[in-house]
Amino acid sequence: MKKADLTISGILFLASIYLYYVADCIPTPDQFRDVGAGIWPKIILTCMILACIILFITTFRTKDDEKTLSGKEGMTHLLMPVSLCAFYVLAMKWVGFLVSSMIFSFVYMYFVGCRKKAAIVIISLAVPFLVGLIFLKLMYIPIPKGVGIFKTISEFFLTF
Amino acid sequence: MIEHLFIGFQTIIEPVNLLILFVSLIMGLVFGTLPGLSGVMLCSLVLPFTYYMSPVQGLVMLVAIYTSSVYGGSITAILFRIPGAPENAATTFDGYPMTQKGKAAEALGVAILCSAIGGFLSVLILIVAAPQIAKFALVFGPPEFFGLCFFGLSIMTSLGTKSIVKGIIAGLVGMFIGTIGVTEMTGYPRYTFGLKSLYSGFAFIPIIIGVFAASQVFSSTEKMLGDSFKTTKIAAKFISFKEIIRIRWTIIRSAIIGFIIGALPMAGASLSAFISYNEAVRWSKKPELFGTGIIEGIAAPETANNATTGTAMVTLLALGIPGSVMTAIMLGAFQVHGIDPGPLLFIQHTDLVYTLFVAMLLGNIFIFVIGKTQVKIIVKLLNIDYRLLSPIILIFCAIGSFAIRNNIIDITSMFFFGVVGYFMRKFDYPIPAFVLGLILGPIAEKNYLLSMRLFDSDLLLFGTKPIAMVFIVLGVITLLMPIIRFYKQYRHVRKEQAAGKKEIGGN
Repeated sequence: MKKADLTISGILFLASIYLYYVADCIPTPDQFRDVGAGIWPKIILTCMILACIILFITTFRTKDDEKTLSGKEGMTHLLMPVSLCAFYVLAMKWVGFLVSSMIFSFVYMYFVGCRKKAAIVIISLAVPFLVGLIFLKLMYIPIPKGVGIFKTISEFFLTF
Repeated sequence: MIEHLFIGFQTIIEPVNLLILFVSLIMGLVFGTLPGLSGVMLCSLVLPFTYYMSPVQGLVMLVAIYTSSVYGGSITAILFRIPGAPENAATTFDGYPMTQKGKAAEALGVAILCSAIGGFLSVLILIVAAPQIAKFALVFGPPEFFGLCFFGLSIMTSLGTKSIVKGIIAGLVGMFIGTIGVTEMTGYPRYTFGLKSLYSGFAFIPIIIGVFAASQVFSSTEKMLGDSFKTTKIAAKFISFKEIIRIRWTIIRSAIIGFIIGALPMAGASLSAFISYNEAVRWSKKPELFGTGIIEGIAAPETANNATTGTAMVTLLALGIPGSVMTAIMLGAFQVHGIDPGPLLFIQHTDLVYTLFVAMLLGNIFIFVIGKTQVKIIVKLLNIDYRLLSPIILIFCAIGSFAIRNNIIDITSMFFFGVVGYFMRKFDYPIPAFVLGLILGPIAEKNYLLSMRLFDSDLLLFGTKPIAMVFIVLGVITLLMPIIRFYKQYRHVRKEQAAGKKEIGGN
């Protein structure tokens, strides 16, 4: 935890200095005098720089409380859902909400260890279909339909 | 007045009107519950239909949606840490920890009861003192609003109970993210780095859904894969009357905060929810328990955000000035029927006004009845295997984020902030402080810049605005209180350590 806090405060400190510089470069139109678009970020970033210094010093002076991350294993376990979500978002544009959600929920449930085959299949098919139907038909909110054949599939399902 | 209320009651209990009221309440509840959908969205959708209805029916429909949608957002905030709208973000602070403790039914009970109490009292205030409140609301200018926002932001030191500085950092990061995009005042693209998709800034809802809900699913998935996931047994116990009596002052205080903030133009329910949470922490004898799952942490924001619903109508009805997006839509509904809200409304359309009041009163009672009956059904959702539930939650997060602007980028930002939230959780950076900064930061900026233009860039002129100064002083006290408390504890520990060393030396 100590190492993590030192790293975070260091990164945020450097980022704040850079972002302060960016804010300082924002031009202020004459009619706004010295209250242009850069003033508010500069106030925030000044406070941030001070807070990072305090966090760095206090963390440096304290002993490590041994509360650490679950290590590489923990990160691997995070990698799986995050990668699935990334694929889900990427696929949605081309495959559409319906098909991508069906595949996503099926794969996700299987990966987290669910082995109830009937439940997985029913939920994977029914939930995206119902959600799509509610949003599109009842609330008139468009959902991504995908392109090509996937658009045809989405439109076929949502004609009900 | 009683006579008019009675006529209003007679009008509202006509079968068609009662049906419209009931159906609108349910619709508002559904839209409020689903993330990405809101009462404002539903009101916009049904506005054209009001043209074909009588003025009473059309306006009853809109006020019923308004009343119930504010409560609806608390359900998913408590069960899955997905606030239906920004005004329910503060409810997640203690609502979700209560669910994790197996007390979801109790948490929902507090939310229902406090929402109904807040809403009901707010309408009573509206009936009794609408013209007086309208005059008071006009006293609030940008300096007063800035003071109010500063006071709301000051709670960030209390939200990071383990480390004050981490709370401040989380809040400042939230405030910084709120600065991204084209500025309202000067039209300058700030921190967009040439990316056109960032010109309109980040939408709040996807970020809130990401840091609260998606990060929670990622955390739980990690535990499920690591075999350390524990399922909590959910009790169906509703909140007792004794408990409500115990937290009566939190409810009363939050209701008053809600009344006042609700009447202020463009202040909104989310500001009142955060400020009342702040006050609940400040007045508590055990502030360290907030965020761990206590009923006061739900009662305060839920009473306050619903208490804004009645008084938010004040400026619309008494002055003809819509104070929020929702009341602006209602103004449209009035105008569709050729009615101009304002001081003459109470004289020319007395029956209509009082029918609306009765509809709002009844709406709050119905919310309580509907809410109480649905608790047992809703809580059953939590007994579903989390391995089946987790992708469903993520699908709702995705479609809820998409619905805001019909843009896939919002889904990407939701998942990105889900990962950010996961790491914030890991390293003990309080997510509530981050969300507080994100929501209140832009409101504070806008009012700060307007004040500075008003004061000709002289910061000291804030001293000439007594209401603003009161809020700023209260904010400074709130900021410093946890620091003083921490310093006292630190000194106490040091003294004990020194005494222990002396004893060892003596032996």
